Amino acid sequence: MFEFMLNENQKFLLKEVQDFVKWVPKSLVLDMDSEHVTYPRQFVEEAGARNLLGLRFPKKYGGRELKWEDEIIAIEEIGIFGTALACAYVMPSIVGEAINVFGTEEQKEKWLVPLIKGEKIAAEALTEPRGGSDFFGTTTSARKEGNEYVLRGQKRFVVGAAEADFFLVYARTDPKAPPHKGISAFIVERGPNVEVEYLYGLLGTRGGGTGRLVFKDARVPAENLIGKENGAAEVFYQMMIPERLTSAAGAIGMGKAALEIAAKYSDRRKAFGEKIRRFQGVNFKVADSITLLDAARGLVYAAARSVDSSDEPSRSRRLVSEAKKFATDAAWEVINHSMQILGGIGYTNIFPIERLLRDARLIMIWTGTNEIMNLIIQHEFYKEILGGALSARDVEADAPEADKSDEKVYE
Amino acid sequence: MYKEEHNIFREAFRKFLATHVIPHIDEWEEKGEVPRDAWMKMGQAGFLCPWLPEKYGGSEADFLYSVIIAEELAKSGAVSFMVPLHSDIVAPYIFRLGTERQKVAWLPRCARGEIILAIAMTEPGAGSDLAAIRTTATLQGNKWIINGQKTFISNGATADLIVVACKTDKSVPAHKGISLICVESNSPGFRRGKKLKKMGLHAQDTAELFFEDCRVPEENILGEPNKGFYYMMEHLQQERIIAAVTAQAMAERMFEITLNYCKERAAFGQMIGKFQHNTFKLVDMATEIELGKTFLEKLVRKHMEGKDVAVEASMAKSWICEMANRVAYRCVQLHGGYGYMEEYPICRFYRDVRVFPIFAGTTEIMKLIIAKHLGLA
Repeated sequence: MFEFMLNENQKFLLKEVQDFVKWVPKSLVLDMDSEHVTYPRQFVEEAGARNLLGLRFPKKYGGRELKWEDEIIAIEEIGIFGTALACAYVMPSIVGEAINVFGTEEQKEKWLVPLIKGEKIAAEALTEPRGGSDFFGTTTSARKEGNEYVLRGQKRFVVGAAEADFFLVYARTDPKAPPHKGISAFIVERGPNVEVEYLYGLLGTRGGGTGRLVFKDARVPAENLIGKENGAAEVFYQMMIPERLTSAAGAIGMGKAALEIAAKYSDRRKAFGEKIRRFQGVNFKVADSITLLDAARGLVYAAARSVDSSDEPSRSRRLVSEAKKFATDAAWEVINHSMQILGGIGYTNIFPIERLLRDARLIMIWTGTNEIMNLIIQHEFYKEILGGALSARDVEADAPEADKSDEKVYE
Repeated sequence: MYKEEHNIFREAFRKFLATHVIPHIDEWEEKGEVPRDAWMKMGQAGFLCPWLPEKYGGSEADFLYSVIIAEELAKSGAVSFMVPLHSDIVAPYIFRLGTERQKVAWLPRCARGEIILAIAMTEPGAGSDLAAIRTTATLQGNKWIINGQKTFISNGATADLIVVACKTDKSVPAHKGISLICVESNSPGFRRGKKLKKMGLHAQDTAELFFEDCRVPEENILGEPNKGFYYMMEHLQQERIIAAVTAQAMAERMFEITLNYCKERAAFGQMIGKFQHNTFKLVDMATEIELGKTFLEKLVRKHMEGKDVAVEASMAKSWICEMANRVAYRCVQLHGGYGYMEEYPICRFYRDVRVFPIFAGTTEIMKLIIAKHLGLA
């Protein structure tokens, strides 16, 4: 985050997070990428011990009652590690959101508190083999039997699944209702009839515990229902905010890390008798990159402020979606530029850029593809404009022939 | 351009790949190397250096056969089995510059797959700026004494014969003092460094090479002394065409895979290819691929006629390799989460294709060459 925009408390938070970032052992980062470590449990525990998880949540559950404006500062810093660690870090903030907003007091005590402490690991199980973007097509079912729900179905691409103690699962509870009125959200504990399998062989984001889940008549106590029965649409819409704001803020950190490496490299590496940063082919790439990152940061900040200030929900949705799309696209582009600046050595594991590039390819896909972001952005913007959110003057009238209404043919 | 015999050859090579290459690629990718046995099989079947005259073990095939081999390897996902580097990039140096003795000694064995070739230009301090190489070779008696280090050498861990760019005259401007010297892997003082771990092309062994008072016979020099820089510039034309051919074939294959996927996969109740955003993406890719193909065909034809196509080759190399990366990016996006999984072929294509705008002259170097032609550099 731009330091000049931070207040004293935020500066202190930044410092705390930077201390934590320095603590993270290099071996963890490397062992995760080589999949010798399949989940960074120790990292999450340490973050919890430092009280850095779920910063937004109420103090009585162990949070700090901070705002998104504060949390994105922390996420950007953690983002420099790439997607796997950043995702482990933000998962309490994501799954915690559902519990904090929709959960009962008992549910918060039981699930949110240990999550914030870093004692329990959670994951969100949303995507299914049949589709991710098409959330309301969910086919995993939950049938009520007495005081329990019986879950059957499959989820995949669940980041953190390999180590999670519990999952936030969306399942269809009313097969006859319209798709968005028949899905419920549950907390499902790891246990019998919940099969978890780590997915080896992702392009990046390795060691983040990504896995698939199979529910074979898994029995879940009715008290684990989050929100209302058949009311998961509300949960899902709320979850878009933490999922996408965290993706956006983390992306900036990744881009920042790559650009830092490339800028330093271009100041040292010589070709044709000069430092390569003297060539416009190189330094304009750097200029484009830092501009993209700063613009992304500004947009992420605006989106965070919109959510914090309880702005119109539709505007928050638009800004959050824009931030996710723009920041992730920007981060990928910056990392790709950085690799090009390094040339052949950037393609090897001598520098971490190849890992960041592999990681970064996911962020335009996860937490809602950037195409889905476009669906939301245009939808909300049309609603706003056509609902009368226009400029202070009639801008359309400022043309010489503007009053010729015969010329304005629309059909 | 292609005749019946080319098509027959392509079919035969496809069958060969299906039997001897495709079933093993995953294993080779895992091991980081293509076993020698695979090279020998390629040689036995006549797929190495087919353009060589019969007396050197070839079948005097035209350049289109080389194009077919490069294309089919790329399309079958075996781009990291770097046969074109051996056959069409390094072997031509020996054929065009070598003495009769060198040719007789090496070329038939190259065609049989007994000798794997590599060329060592890049150094830790000299990539794009080729004239800045520091590896030296000095003549002592009837031996060249080579000292220095090379890096990013494709086929570097397995190569038996390496064409090494060395500085042989330090008193003149850099590009007038470079020679090409052939180093056999059993030469004293030659050592391979570690195999480099890369984002992609895992089966293709990329290595560092060290020369510490490495001694090779005087007659191992290729062509005339101190003309190495010019020789390299001449041969880079074909290297860049081959890079463009490979990237083009990868783009075609990635598109084919993705188009099928978009026709099979449904979301929101219809095939995803029918959403206008996706449709237009696919249409844009099809258009760019067609443009690349058309340009490349013309370029290959002119190259076969022996014309100087250095500028067009640079244009093709930069544009097509960048295009293939745009295609890879979009294809992964159209696959969604599955595109990020290694079990889907598009994932490996995405990793492999990223190096194409970097190796064989970066996109930026290609632009400098074109700029020179336009009177701008």
